[in-house]
Amino acid sequence: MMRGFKQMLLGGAVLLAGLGTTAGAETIAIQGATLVNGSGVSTPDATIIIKDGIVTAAAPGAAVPAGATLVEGKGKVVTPGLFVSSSDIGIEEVSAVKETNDSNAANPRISVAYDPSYAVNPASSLIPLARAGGITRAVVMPAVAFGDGAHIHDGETAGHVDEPLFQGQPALIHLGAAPDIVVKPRLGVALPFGESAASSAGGSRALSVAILKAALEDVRHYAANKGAFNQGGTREYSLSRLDLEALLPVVRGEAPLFLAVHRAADIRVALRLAREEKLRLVLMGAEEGWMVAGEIAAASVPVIIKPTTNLPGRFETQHARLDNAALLEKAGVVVILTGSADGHYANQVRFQAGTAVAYGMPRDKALAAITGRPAALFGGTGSAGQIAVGKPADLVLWGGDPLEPMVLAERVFINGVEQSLKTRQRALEERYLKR
Amino acid sequence: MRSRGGRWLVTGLALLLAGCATGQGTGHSGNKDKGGDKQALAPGLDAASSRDPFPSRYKPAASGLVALTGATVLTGTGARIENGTVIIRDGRIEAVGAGLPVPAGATIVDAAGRWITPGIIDMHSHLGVYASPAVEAHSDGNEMTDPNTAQVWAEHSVWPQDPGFERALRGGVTTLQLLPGSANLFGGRSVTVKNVTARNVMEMKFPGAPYGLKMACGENPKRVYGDKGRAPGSRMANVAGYRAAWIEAAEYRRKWDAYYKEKQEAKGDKQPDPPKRDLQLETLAGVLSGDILVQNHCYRADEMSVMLEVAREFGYRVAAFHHATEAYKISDLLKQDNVCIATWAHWWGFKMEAYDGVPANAAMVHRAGACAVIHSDDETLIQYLPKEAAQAMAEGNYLGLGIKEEEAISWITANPAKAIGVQDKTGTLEPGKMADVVVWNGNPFSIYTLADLVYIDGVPQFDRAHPPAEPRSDFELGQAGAEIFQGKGAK
Repeated sequence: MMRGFKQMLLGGAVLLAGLGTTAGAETIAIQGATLVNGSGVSTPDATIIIKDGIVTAAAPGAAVPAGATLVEGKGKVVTPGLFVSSSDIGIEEVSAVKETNDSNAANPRISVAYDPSYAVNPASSLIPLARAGGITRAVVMPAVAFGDGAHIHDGETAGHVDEPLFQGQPALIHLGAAPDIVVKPRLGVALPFGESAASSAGGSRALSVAILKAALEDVRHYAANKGAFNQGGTREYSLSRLDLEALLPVVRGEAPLFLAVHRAADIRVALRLAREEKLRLVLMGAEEGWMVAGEIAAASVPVIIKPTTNLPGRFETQHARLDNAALLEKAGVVVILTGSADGHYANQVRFQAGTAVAYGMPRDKALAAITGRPAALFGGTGSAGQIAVGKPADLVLWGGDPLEPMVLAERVFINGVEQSLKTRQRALEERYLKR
Repeated sequence: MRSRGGRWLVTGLALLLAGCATGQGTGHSGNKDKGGDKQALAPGLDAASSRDPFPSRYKPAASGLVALTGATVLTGTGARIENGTVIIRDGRIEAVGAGLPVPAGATIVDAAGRWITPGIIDMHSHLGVYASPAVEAHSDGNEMTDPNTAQVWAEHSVWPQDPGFERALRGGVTTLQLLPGSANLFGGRSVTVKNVTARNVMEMKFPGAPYGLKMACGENPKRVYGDKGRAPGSRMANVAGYRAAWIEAAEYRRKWDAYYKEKQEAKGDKQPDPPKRDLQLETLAGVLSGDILVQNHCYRADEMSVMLEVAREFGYRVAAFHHATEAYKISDLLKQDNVCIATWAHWWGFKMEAYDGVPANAAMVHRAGACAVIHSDDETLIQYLPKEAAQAMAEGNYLGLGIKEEEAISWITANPAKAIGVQDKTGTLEPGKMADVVVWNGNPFSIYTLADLVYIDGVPQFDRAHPPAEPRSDFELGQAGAEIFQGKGAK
């Protein structure tokens, strides 16, 4: 009953998002810009034509329709809208004001089943800032820590926070100005693997593996005995009914486990577990991934990494290094780049990509790692992550190289709708400049 | 108040130990029995003879004569020099200019196509006091046991083996102010260090740098102590706490001033006894006498404004507001009182008092004529300070402020040097200054640009073309790594 209602609600959300793509009758022609596609490949001197929000041409020498608004693109770059692939954007406003922060869910009865898409606030002030920074899509990730999160700022002691083992189901949102921005909820199930999992499991990594294996076994048993379960005729399970249901797509291989895993040894255990349990896996963090890059590549497991992590913030990130992204890429791993999980800093993802380039990742791959690759992984995203003729514009016109901090986004289209670049920050800046 | 008993005990013990040491002293204590002189006091008992109890023991190696030629030079003074030459002699900047003649015997570094800036200064770091790995055992930055811990010194928590120092060096950071945390109204003394290999903090200490006193406004003190059911539990109690402490400090200072006067006027055997030292009040009195610089963690415009009034009330100066996310609202007040602000470009919203943080903060303060600094407060961001400054510059220029690279570089060089009181020694490329210099492989504000060479006092501490074979930190030395997983570990 509850589940049916949930599907209805979210189906409606997707429908509304689709309806929101109509734009005013206007044709825009960006002339002479460098066009970057979702694979990160650049084409110089291209003309990009957007008619009523739909891309009608994106190639050098495309004919400009009469009456089009001309945009000088010389020296400028057009990319697909950027992704931030692990963030709490949309579900927090002020981190330390807990009433405004839905990112720290911890309920033992609803852990796997925790679906943050219901907490998404399209009116959050974090969203316009990210959008003005060229971010058009975000994966709202339940609190899965990256390996560098151990230094806690400002009056707190350093250390780890105990968290439930299962952290819930990430959701894909778009960052357009619209009432319904959830694109696709329940992308899979997120959980930590390593030091923080050990602490929530009772003091050992091995316990967290045992708990996970028991949960998977329970889900399989539950799936085969649902009728008996509903009449109280099954043995006791380690998870609540809601959690068992939520883990079903993972057990069936329909949705991935997003594992935040850091140490090389733990990455190998994760890969082994996925083989044994026939699970789809996405590795997050993977600071020591470079040490076992061949094994990750052979398992065809994508990684979502933050390339600037280069300190032994924890023992499990002891061998973190700045060329992790480059080395994983070289080994043939599908590398997706992201930044801080704090949604306030979603707009920093392009600098993370730039840093990966500075330390050896090919620039086109780094661009793909924040556009086309996450679009392919998270799926169901329409034209996001690509610039495709006939599809709604989901792109950014940059004043220059999009990976450079001196360069800003000049125009942003999401789902075929041109977005305002006004932010609360700019309103404050302008108020006090005028004073 | 609560800690007074504890302090008495420690002081008493120190007296006892110091007495022993004096008794066994060699050399100059030879004539102490002559003529019935009083037993000489241990230096730790007389503030006048204990001016520098943990002195800098940093001795840079000989730099020789070096000429860096053909670069785009940002001097930190606001100047930009194309085809610039920087000449270093004996650890100092000797000359800077376009196409200078290279002195005979100089080691020439061809820096054509590269950029040169002063060494980067991070005036807000917790490296060493919150070292990596961030295990509980390394959590030494916040003495959260009393709202006034002016008596603690960050240098006594600094672990020189923190791997973060070496990472910061690769980011061009040559000088750092290491601070205690912000849980307390008075958090303790900061220490300024050079980013060099050291076995103890003395071997890093910046020679001649003044101390800072970490103070904190706002949410942190009132939360930490309010949650314990103690004062301060509100911003008004924060301010009451500062004022009460300055009143105590002023009295302490008067007591010592009277002693110094008496001592000066004393003749022969009639030497006065010094008052009992109180380390907490001594630090606060050091602020009132201008020897110790106030480094004040403060986010909101209204609170910074109140803190300027407190400073006026008790006759001290605020050297800098740290974090200062709302500084752009009071640029005029900051300029008027000659106070620096150290902030970020992209941090905001992590707590209520940081909600109005804006990316152009530093640019707006700078354009209004006040002293702006970009700081890190973070072991990762410290590695990217020019990139952080670039974001502030970009947003400032979006607003039409027209900030140039030669100006923005001052936010991470000359201005932090001023804010921590070492502007006469480092922070710009001017003749006579310490040769703290970075050669970048391009425009330092570009995301792709890396530091090629980092000189501290003219000594190359990092050379990207010849990276060190071993990690600088003992912690990272000899740790098994990739070879274990790649089948290369066996003999």
